[in-house]
Amino acid sequence: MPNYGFVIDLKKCIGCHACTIACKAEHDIPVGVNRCWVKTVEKGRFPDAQRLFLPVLCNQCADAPCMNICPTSALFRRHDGIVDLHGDACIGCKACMAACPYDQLFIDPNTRTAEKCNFCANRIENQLEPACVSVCPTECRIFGDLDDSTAAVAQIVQREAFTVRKPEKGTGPKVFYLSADDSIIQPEIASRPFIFKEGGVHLRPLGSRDPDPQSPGDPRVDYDVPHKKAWGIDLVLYLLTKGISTGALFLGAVLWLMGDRSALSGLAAPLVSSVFSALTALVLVMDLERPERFYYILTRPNWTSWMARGAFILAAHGVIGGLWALAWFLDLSGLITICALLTLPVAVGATGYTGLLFAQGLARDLWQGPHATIDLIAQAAMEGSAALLIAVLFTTVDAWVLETLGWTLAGATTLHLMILVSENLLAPSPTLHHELAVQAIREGAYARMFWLGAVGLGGLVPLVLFAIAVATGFSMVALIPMALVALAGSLAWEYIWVEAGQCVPIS
Amino acid sequence: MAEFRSHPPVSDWDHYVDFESTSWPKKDRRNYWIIPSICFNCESGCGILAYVDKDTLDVRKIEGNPLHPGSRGRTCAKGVVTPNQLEDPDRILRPLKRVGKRGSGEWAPVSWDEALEDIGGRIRKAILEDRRREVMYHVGRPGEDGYVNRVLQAWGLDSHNSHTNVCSSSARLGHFLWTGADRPSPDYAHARTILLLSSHLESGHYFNPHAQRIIEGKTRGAKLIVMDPRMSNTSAKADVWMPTKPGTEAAILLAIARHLIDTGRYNREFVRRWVNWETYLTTSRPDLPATFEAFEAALKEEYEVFTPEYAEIESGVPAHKILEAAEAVADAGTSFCTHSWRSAAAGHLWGWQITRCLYFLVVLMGAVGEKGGVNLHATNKFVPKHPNPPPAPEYWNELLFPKEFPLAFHEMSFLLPHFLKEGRGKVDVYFTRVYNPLWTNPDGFSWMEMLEDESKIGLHIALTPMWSETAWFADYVLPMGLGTERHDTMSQETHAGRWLGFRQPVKRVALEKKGTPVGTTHEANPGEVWEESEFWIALSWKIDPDGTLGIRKYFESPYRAGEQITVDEYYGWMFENSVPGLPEAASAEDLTPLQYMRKYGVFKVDEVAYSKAHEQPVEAGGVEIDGGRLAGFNTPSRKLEFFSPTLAEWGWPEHAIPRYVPGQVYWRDLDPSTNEFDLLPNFRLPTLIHTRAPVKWLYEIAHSNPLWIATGDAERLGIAMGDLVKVNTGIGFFVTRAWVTEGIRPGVVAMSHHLGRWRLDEDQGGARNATALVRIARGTDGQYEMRQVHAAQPFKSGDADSARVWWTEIGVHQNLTFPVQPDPVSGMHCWHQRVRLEKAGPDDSYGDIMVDTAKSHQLYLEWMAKTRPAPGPDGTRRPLWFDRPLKPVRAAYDVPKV
Repeated sequence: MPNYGFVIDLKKCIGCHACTIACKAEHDIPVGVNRCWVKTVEKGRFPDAQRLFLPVLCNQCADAPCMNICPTSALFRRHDGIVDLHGDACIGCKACMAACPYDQLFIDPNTRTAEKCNFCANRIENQLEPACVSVCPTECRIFGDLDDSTAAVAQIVQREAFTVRKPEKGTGPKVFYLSADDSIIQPEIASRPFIFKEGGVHLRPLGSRDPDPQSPGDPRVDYDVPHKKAWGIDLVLYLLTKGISTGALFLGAVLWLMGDRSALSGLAAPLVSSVFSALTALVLVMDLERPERFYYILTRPNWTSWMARGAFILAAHGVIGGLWALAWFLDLSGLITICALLTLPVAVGATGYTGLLFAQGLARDLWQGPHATIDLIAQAAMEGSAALLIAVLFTTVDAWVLETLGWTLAGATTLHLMILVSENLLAPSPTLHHELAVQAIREGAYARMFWLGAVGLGGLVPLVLFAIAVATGFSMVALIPMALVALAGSLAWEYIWVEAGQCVPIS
Repeated sequence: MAEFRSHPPVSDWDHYVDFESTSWPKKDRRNYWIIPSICFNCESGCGILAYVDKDTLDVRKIEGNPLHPGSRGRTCAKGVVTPNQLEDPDRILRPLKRVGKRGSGEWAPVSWDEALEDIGGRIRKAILEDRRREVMYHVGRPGEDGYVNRVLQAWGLDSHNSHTNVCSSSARLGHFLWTGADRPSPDYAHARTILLLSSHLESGHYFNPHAQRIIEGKTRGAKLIVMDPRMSNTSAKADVWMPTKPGTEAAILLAIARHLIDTGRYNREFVRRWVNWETYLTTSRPDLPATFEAFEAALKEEYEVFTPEYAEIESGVPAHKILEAAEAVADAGTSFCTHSWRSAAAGHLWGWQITRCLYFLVVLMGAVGEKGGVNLHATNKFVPKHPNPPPAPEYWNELLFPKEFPLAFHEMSFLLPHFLKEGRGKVDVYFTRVYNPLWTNPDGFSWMEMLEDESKIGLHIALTPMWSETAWFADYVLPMGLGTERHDTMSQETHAGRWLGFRQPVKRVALEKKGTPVGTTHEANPGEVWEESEFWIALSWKIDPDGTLGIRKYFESPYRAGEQITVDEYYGWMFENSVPGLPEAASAEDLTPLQYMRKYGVFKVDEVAYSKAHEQPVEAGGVEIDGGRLAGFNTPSRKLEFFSPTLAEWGWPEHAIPRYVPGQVYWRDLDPSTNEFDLLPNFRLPTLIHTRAPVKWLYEIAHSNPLWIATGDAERLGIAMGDLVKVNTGIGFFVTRAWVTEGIRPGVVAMSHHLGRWRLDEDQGGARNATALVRIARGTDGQYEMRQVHAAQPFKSGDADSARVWWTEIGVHQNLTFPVQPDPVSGMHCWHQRVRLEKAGPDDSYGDIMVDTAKSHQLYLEWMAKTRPAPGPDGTRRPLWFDRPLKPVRAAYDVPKV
C-alpha cells in the first residue's frame, strides 16, 4: 500500500500563491477558508532583512488527532495513508478543528461540514498529481509514495535534512520541508501585526505575540489567511450547564447517602440536574453546524473520540437524573438510593470526560494536562453546590445540609482557585504556545476577565462571603450571594479556558 | 510504483472523465472536454487548459497546458482564476450605450448590429472627410500579435496608441539603442549569474515562464543578484540583494563594468568584434589611435570614477556587496543573464540609461545570444504573417508621436489629455481596449476631464471584459471575451526556444465538437460577450460595405471571393501559410493546421533558439568584421552601439554612451527636515493584474496597498503600523495606511500598483468586492476631491461567495495624484514621485484624494521644456531605423517644411 507524502523545498518557493488558488479551483473552496495557503514572514534588519515563505497543507498524520476526536468517524484513513472525510457523516462539531495542531480543518460554508486537504485524492485516483503540485511554477512541491524507495520524496526524506511542523505533537506528519526557518515553521515565534502588506488582517489570533518596538528585526508574519477558532460561547455554556447538572446530582447523591431525605436531595437535585442536562444537550446540538445530524454521534460513534464517549456518559447521567426524579414522585426511596449510588461514578465521568475531550484538542496546549480534569470536577462541585444552595430557597433543609453545601462550595472554590493560581501564575509553561495563552490570560486580552471574573468573582469574593456566612451562622443572606458570585466567576473562567485556549496562532 | 502525471494525457482530452471534487469521496463522475487556450491575464501567453463540462458547457477549472513550451503546464494564480472572471457577478454581459450625459452612468442595452452601424458609420465619415487622424485605438495589454495593427493599416490609419510609455519605454529604448531589438530574452535556465533590476519572481513581464526558469537556473547553481530598494519576493530569493537608493542603479552597474574592465575579466574578443568602438574613438577620442587597445584605455578613463566606494556613496549599497556582484558577473562568462523591464528603468528620468548600463554588462561578457546569456527577443518570439497585408499608413499622427519626442518608445499615450488641452487636435472616435487610462495612467483626473469633454472625444468606445473607471466615461461599453472566450495568436520570448500559441473561445469549440455550428462567438459566450477578432471584421464591413473605400477587401475570405472572412478562415490561413513546420506536423496527424491548433493550442516553432543571426555571413550589406562580411545586428552600424550616433545626432550627445545620471527624485535633493521621501509606486504583487484583477480569489489574498515605510522613518514621523498617512505629491495628496517594515531602504516609501479601484455608482461600474464607492467633488478650476463612501462590502448575488467578502479597505488610487513626468528621450512616464509625508489629521479619511489638474498641466509644460524636438539630422520626425508598432510610409517621416 502506498503511503503518500510531500516534500516542499522552501528554497524554491517564491510565495506566488498559485497553489492556494489552484486548490480553491480544484475543490471549489469558498471565500474565507483554505485547504492550503502560503504564509510569509519578514525578519532581520535592513539591509539584511529576509522574507520567508511557507506553503502549508494537511500533513495526513500517521496518528491523526482529527480522526481520533471525530465523534462520527467522518474522518477516515484511506488505504494510501491519506486522511479523508465523508462529508455526509460530519455533524459539524468542529472537534477536528480543535484537534489539528496544524490548523488544517475548517467548516465549509457551503456544506456546513468540516473540510480539509486530502492531497487531492480525487486526482490521485486518476493518476494525477495534486493540483498544488501540478500548478507550482517553480516545482517546489514533490509528491509521492514515502514507502517507495525509488520515489523522489522517499529519497529526499532519506538523504536530506528536513523539518516538519510541530514534531513534538507526535502525530507523524507527512509533509517534509527543506530549508525551513524556525521563525516561519513554528507559528508562535513571529509576531502578528494588525495589517499585512497585502491588506487587512482578518481574525487575528488574540494571543499572538505583539511586535516589540525595541526590536524591529524580530520575525513578523506579513501575510497569512484568516483563522477561525473551533469553539466559542456554546462550549462555554456547555461547561456551565453541564457543571451544574453533574455537580448538583453528585452532591444530591452524597446528601441522600448521608441520610438527607429532604426534597432538596430527593427532588431538587435530580430536577436541577435534568433541566441542566437538557440545556447541555441543547447547547451542544446548537453548536453543531449540522444540528439535524446530532444523532449520528449515537448511531455511528467513534470509540476513540471523547466526544462520542462523553455523549454516552452524558446520556447515562441524564437517564439516572430522570429516573431519580421519577422515583421521588413514585416514592421509591430504594430506587433513589440506587440512582444515588450510580450517580457517584457516572457524574464524575460526565464531569471529567470533558477534560479528556479538550485534551484530545491537541492543537491547544492550554488544554493539555490532568489538572484540567481536576479543575472541571472542582468547578462542577462549585456549580452544583451553588445551584443547590439556591434551591434551598424553595425548600427546607437541616442545618447540616446547608453547612455541607456551604463547605463544599467553599472547598471547591478554594481548590479551583489554587489550580488557577498554580497553572496560570506559578507553574512554568511547558511550551511557547502555552506561555502565550497564559500571557493572554494574565496580562493580555483576557486579563480583566481573569482577575476580576475568574479570580475575584470565582475565588476571592465567594470565600469572603463564606467567611461572613460562617460568622453569621450560615445565613442565606451571605450564602445566596456567594452561590451567585461563584457561578458568575466559574462562567468567567470557563469562557477564558475555551477562548484563551484557542487564542494562540497554530499555523 | 504509481506514476503521477501532471495533466491528463492528450489522448483523453476529448473524453476526460473526472471525479467531482465537491462530492468526494463519493465517486461522482463528470465528463469534460479539455480544450486548450492561452491565458489573457498578462502578457506571458501561458498555455491553459479549460475543463469544459459536457453537460453544462461551463468552464469548471483552468490548468496549465503541459504542451506549451513557455509555461510548461504551469500557471500563476492569475491564470487559475479565469473562471472567477467568467462568472463574476459584476461582469458586463451585453453591449451598452450611454443614454444620459457622458459619465452619468445611465446606460441602455444596444444590439451589436446597432453599435456596429453607428461606430462604423462614424469612422467611414472620418475617412471620407480625410479626418483619419481623429480615429484612435488605444490598447492596454494587447494579448495578441499583429491582428489589430493589420486592421488599422487596412483602414489606412496611423492610429495605434499603446500603454507602453507607462510601462516599458525606458527598458525598450535602452535595449534598442544597443542591439536594435527592444526586448531582452534571457536564458535564465542555463545562466551562471542572473542580475535582475526587476521582480521577475513575482511579477515581471513573463512572470510564470521566467520565474520557473530563474529558479531552475538557481537550482543548477546560478547566483541571483537583485537590485531593488524594496524587499520584493525576488529580493527575498536573491543571493545578493542590493537595495539601492532609487535611481542610482547605473552607478553600481558601471562600477561592475569598471571592475570587469580593470581586472580584464571581460570578453575582449567579443567586444572587439561586435562593439562599435571605432565610432566612439573617432567621435569622442580623436586624440587616440583607432585601435582596440586605445578603446580599452579610453573605457578605463570613461568609467574611472566608478569605484565600488563611489558606487557605495551614490547607491547606499556597500562596496563589498558590489564587488561580490561584480565577481559573480565575471565568473559567469557568457552565461550571464540580466533583465530590466519596468522597475528602476520605468521609475526614473534617464531610466533608459540604467537599462543601457545593465546591457553594457551583457555586452562586456559577450553573453549576447549565448547559452545562459541574453537573446534578442525576435529569436524567441514568433509572429506569423497575417493574410493579405495592407500597406503602411501614409501620414504621421502627431497626437501619437509629437515632434518633441522623436526617440520615444513608443506613442506618447499618457500625455493625450494635455495634447488635447493644448489644442493639438481632437479625437472623433476613440477606442479604449482592455485599457483603463483614467485609472492606470498618472494624472487620471485630466483623463476624466478629457473623456467628459465631447468636443475633445467625439465617441468613446470601451472594449473591455469588465467594468473600469475609464469605461464609465464611454459612449459604448462593448463586452469582450476573456482568455477562454476569444481567438488570438500570441508568442513571447519566454526562453531560448520559440512557440506560437492559439487562444480560443472554448465554449464555441465545445459546441462545435457537440455538432452545434456557431455563427459568431457571441452566440457561444455568456450573454452577448463577443471577441475582437470577429468584431473588427464586422466593423470593417460596416465602414466599407460596398468595398469602395478599398478596406473591405482586407476582410474578405481568402477562400471564398467577396465573402466576409470568418475567424476559422483567418487563423486557418495563417496556420497553413505562415507557420513553418505546422502544416507538416498537422498532416502527420491527419489534421488541418487549424484543427491542430484547436487540438493542442500551441505549436513549437523551435525547440532551442539562440540569437546567432549576427554571425551569419552575408553577400552584401551587413558589416565587415576581421575581413568577413557578417549580417550583424539591427543597428545602423550593424554592431552593438556602445556609442549611439543616433543619440548624438538627435540632440543628446552627452548621452551617447552608457552613463549614470540621477533621475527626477535624487536622494541628495530630498529634504528630510520637511519629511520628503522618494515614493516608489510601481511595484506589483504576484496575484494582481492591471484591469482584470478584481475577482474574489485574488482579492481575498491581496486587496490593499498600504505604504511601505522603514521602521526608523516611521518612528521619526510618529507613525505606527496601520496609522493613516497623508502623502503630498506635486499636484495633490492621498491618504493611506502605513505598513512599517525593515524591508525597504530608509528614505524610500513604496506602494503597490493595481489597488485602489473605485466606482461611482453603488450597483454598477465596478466589481463590488474590489472597488470602493466614491464621491468626487469638483472645484471651479480643475480641483478634485475624492472621498470613499464605503469600501468593499459583502453583497447578494448568484454566487454565495459574494456575501462572504470579509475584506473592506481595497487600497488607495495613488496614480491620480501623480503629475505626468515624460522622459524627454524615451517618453517613459517616470513613475517615482518626490513626496512629502505627514501624519493624517482629524479630517483625513482613508482613501481621501485631492488633485489640482491646473497644476498638473503646469508640471506637464515644465517636463515638455526638457525635450529636444525633431527634426533630426535628415529632416525627419524619427530615426528611420527606430521601431514603431505601426510604421507609416517613408514620406510620412519628413517634417513638413513651413
